[in-house]
Amino acid sequence: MKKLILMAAALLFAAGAADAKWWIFGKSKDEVGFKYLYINKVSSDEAGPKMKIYAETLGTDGLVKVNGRAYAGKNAVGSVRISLDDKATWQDVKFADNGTFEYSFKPEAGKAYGMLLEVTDTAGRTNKVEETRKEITLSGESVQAKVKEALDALFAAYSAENLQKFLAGVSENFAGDKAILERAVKRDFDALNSINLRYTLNNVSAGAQGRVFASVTYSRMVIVNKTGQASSDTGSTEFVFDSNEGRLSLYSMKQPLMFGLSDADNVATGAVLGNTGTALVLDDGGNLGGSGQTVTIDCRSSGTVLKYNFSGSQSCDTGGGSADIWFYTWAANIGYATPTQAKDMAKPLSLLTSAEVRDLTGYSTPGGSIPAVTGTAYCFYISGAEFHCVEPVTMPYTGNALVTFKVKQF
Amino acid sequence: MAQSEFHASSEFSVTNNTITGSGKGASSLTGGLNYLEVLNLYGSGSRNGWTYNYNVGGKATDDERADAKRLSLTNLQGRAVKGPHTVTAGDVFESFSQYTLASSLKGASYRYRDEGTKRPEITGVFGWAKPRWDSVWNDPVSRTIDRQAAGLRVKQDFNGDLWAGLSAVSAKDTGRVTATDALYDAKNYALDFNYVPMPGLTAAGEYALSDTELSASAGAAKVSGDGSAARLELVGDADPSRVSLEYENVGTDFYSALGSAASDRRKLKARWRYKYTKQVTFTSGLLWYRNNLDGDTAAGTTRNWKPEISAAIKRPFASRPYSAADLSYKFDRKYGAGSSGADHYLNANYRDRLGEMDSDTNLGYTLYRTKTAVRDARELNFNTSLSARLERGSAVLKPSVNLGTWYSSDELADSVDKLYEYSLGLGAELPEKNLTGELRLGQNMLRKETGDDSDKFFAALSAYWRPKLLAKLNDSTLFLRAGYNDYAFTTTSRNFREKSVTVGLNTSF
Repeated sequence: MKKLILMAAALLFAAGAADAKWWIFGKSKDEVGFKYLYINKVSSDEAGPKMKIYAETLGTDGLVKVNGRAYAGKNAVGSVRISLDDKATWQDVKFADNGTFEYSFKPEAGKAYGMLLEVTDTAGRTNKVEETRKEITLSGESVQAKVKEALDALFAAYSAENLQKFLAGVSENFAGDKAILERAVKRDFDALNSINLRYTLNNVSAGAQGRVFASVTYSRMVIVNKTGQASSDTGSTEFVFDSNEGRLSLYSMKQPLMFGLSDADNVATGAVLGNTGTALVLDDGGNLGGSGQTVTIDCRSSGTVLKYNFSGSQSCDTGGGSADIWFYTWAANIGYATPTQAKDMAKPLSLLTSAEVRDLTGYSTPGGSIPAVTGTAYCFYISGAEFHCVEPVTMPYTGNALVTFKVKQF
Repeated sequence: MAQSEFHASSEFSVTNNTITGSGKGASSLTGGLNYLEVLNLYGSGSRNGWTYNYNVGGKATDDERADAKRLSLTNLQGRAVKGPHTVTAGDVFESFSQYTLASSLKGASYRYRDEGTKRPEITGVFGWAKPRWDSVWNDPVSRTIDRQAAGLRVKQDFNGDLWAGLSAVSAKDTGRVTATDALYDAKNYALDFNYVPMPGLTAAGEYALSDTELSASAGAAKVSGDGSAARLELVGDADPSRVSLEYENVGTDFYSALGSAASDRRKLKARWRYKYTKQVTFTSGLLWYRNNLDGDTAAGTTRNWKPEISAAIKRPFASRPYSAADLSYKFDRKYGAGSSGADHYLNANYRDRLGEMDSDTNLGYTLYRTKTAVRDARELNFNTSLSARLERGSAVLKPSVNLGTWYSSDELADSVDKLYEYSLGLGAELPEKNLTGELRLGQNMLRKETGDDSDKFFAALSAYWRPKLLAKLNDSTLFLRAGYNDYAFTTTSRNFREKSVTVGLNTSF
């Protein structure tokens, strides 16, 4: 730690010695320029040199709006001009006494506008015009295409475990905090390999403030480095994107999380409505937890009944009871104790929706056993508060007290 | 005179997946032949002084992993503007403030904004917080709690440098799916502002209150609580520095049904980016946060420190004009509530152009250290890639090679795990034929001292073709995507293979 402080001190000293006014956070009061400048509600400082604008994010009048406030230090603002063709022609912009102005133009799809702004004060001084240059294009694509582009880039970078590329798609204003997400994703990459993610859009909504909401159905498979086992799940989740540097960047995520599984509580800001499970999460040790995981119980050396509690504990015994569920070696059944109720979902776990699981129609009376086969999900309604579903991958049989099943909470 | 515009886009694809092997239950693909159609319509126009636009989209699929519904409405929105009045119906996404409303609703909104005047901007919204349209009509497969939302926001721009907004949002659950669902009745009130006192310096913040009642449900008693949340951010941004300071305090009992808030967290963050020279930029940061703000968490308080420092260097070697390097050191300290960890992350990245090849090499070292024997490990990861863009006549070829390895020495388990990865790619563009494509294949090999080893071999082909005939009619692309994945484990009963072929047509006009 001491070394770190010394390094920081040395850095500060070097910075102070250099011919750079790092301590000046604001520009000189006597300069001519813009106090602020927005292009279609995106700050010019935050926008990159090229801005791609989508029709849905324009007003219904289809206009790109440029607004800001010119300043001229001690002097008054004399004129504000705008060029949309790289200085070939200029148009005067009306401005108020305090320098505020607004200008609108209707862009044509596919055409690039080389936009520059010029402020001149009453003494004839002008701003650094080149610093205001933005190339603006109106994309003919829909906002869905824009969302898809942003999500494709995030999913591809996460699957390739490329942290730098992934973070390039995350907004500086990420609601859960970008630094927390960065560390969480880095830990995800150390814990997982062969990440395979796919999605389709369920709902997209563009807001007037440049933000875009997206709800998706996802399907994923990962191999967990700690166990070497594959785990997969399917579900729905939601993202909100910011418009930044001419494209969308991730602003917030809800549970179930797609990224940052290693610090889910701090990365997610809320949960998707109807989501009552925790999907895949990674604990501090890099182990897969939450639900949607694969469990193996091996009682080949110590029992004929394989017991499991949804809290995660497991045991071996010779008779049923004293657990949430249990598998028998002598019958292809899953046992469950009163007051738990069971339901055969007649489809794999990955295809269940929360609404189907939580629909009480079809659940058995409390206590008993339910015939089970591999590839089919069986749901258990426990103590009037929890729903857990399991899908056997391999079933035990006489002489082989070994079971593997997937489990997920809804 | 009425003016109108209309655009449509469609992507139709058919996929055939074949999954074989005893471990095929682990696959995330749906076997067999499935289709997916995504359609979007967009229109705009003007009539009687109103300008309007609308969009509507739908999805059809028989792949339950792509959607639990065969046919669904993905978006539906209409918006009309006349002077300062804006009316929106359908998908409504009015962002009020971070803690009050940052989510989409199905409903309607009205906004009054008279630009160029001192009048306040007023926005009212009403709707249902449903994640998708099917949920609105209580489709049995995608049904959710009925959460009714209403909100009002008044925003006043005082002089161009300062604006402030007052927001009030109510979210009330009016119908549950099962007896176990607790119903929220939550109200949020917030004041947020943005102030530019001098060029390059911005102050922004928000103070919000919540009043929440959670109804009794099967197995749970009624709960109610009040909470508050506050955030303040100062950003100084002008060459050569960008400095940001953030403070956030989200109370334990603060609940926002429609906003974005990580409850029970107090956070301080400072970040300084400094362009030392044209070639060298330093970034340093410190993040601190803790939970258990009300002191009631049985496990106790967890505190986190996350300092970091990094340098980005353009042309570290004067003789190499395309060279660039990034160096970073990050530290995570987490302690309390039975945990005590101190993790170190070191990373070095170097990019350069070697002849016609672009190279990108990354070397990372992570040291996980805990006093509670949760994770004590040393991990090393190395990745390097070479890629090129070669023009041969009218064709462009893009060969690439990626190599990677990950090494983990787990001191608690006394075991070493290694991962080796490689992939080869060849992209091609034939502009005269309107054809682009890429072939990529590779392998990931996880070698574990204890536990299952695994090998994944993969090959993927993608091709996009815009035939001239279709291009004349509209902007259309035919595409083909094919993939093969072979997963092999030490426990051979887990082995499986996936073959996937997708053909489709993407068109818009």
